[in-house]
Amino acid sequence: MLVARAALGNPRAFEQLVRRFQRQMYAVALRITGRPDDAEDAAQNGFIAAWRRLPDYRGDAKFSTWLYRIVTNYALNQVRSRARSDKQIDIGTLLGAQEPVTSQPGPAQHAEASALVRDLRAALAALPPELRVCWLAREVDGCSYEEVATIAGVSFDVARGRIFRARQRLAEAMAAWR
Amino acid sequence: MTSPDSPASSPSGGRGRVAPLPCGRDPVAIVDRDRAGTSDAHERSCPYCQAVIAASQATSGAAAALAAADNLVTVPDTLLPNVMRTVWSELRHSTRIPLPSATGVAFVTDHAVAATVETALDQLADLQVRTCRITFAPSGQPRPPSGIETEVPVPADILQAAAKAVTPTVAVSIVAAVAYQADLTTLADRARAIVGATITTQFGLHAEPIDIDVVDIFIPGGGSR
Repeated sequence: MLVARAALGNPRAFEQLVRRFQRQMYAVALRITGRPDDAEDAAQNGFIAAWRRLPDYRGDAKFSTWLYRIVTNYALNQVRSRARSDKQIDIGTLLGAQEPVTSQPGPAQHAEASALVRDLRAALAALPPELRVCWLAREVDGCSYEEVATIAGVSFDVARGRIFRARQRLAEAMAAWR
Repeated sequence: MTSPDSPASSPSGGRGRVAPLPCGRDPVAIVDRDRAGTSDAHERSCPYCQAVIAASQATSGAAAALAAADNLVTVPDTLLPNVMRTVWSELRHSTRIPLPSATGVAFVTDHAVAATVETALDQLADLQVRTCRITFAPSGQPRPPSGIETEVPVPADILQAAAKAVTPTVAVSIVAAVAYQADLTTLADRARAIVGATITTQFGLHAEPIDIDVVDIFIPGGGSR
């Protein structure tokens, strides 16, 4: 209902959609870009693009999947643009990306979880962006293969292949954690 | 070699398909079955399958840790206002409706009136507004303020005042879904009463006609039928 209202140009309905999805979309962009400033740009441009394209949204995919794809494309553009200017993603910034801060696990578990996430982010940064997007959508966001294919704009088979190759490469990079 | 991964068992096939392992199994399907706890005896003992499963397990724990970390991500405070600033500036097809005023000129957009109507109708649990369109026709018939009947004799000065205070009229067109087994006539009457009262109270406008098109049925607590 919110989506239908927003598609007709109701800004209040769209604002509610932004509130509902901003955390998820910002997190998606942050994982892909590895940089908070690039992630904010990608999420912001993604939401604005969604507002402009909403009248054409036909509901073929879930709204969240449709939005995920838009934000992902902007995040990939940020990565490519950054790669051209910086040659590679700023690993230092990537490793400094927000780590879990929770009081529930003990200090040792917390330190281990932080180290695991840090190493994973580094391994992800070394993956080709197309593999990174598919693996994140499947393994972190729990998307189905069909949804991953929609998000990445590729066929079902290509999406599965990218997930598989990403798993293999990440497993090699994370071998020390086995 | 036994293989449950025949082409018919999944939509995969053709270009881009993941190459099968030397044992003939599809490595992606092997991981799916391992996670679902449905691996067969072959997959539990085959070294090729076990290598794929081990690689998957090595990264799945890290993926869970990353997801947990992202749950604590703080969204920048500037994201929402920056998005909405652009949205408001690009508001499409907005029509300005003049509001009755004795002291100056004020306007409201059709979107603002529609949003108010939608919010007011949210109080009806048996009705879900899909769309609401407000149409203002400046050349339409002006309407005297309610309570003034032109058929009965009215002093000239009152009629003159009424003519000055004509109430702008808007047409309301609502597309909605209603609850299964709801009394449509009663529900539509209640909806019209709410819409009319809201538009008059909030904006000083008159709503006529108020058209309601029921395009779907929903089951309370469930989905559409």
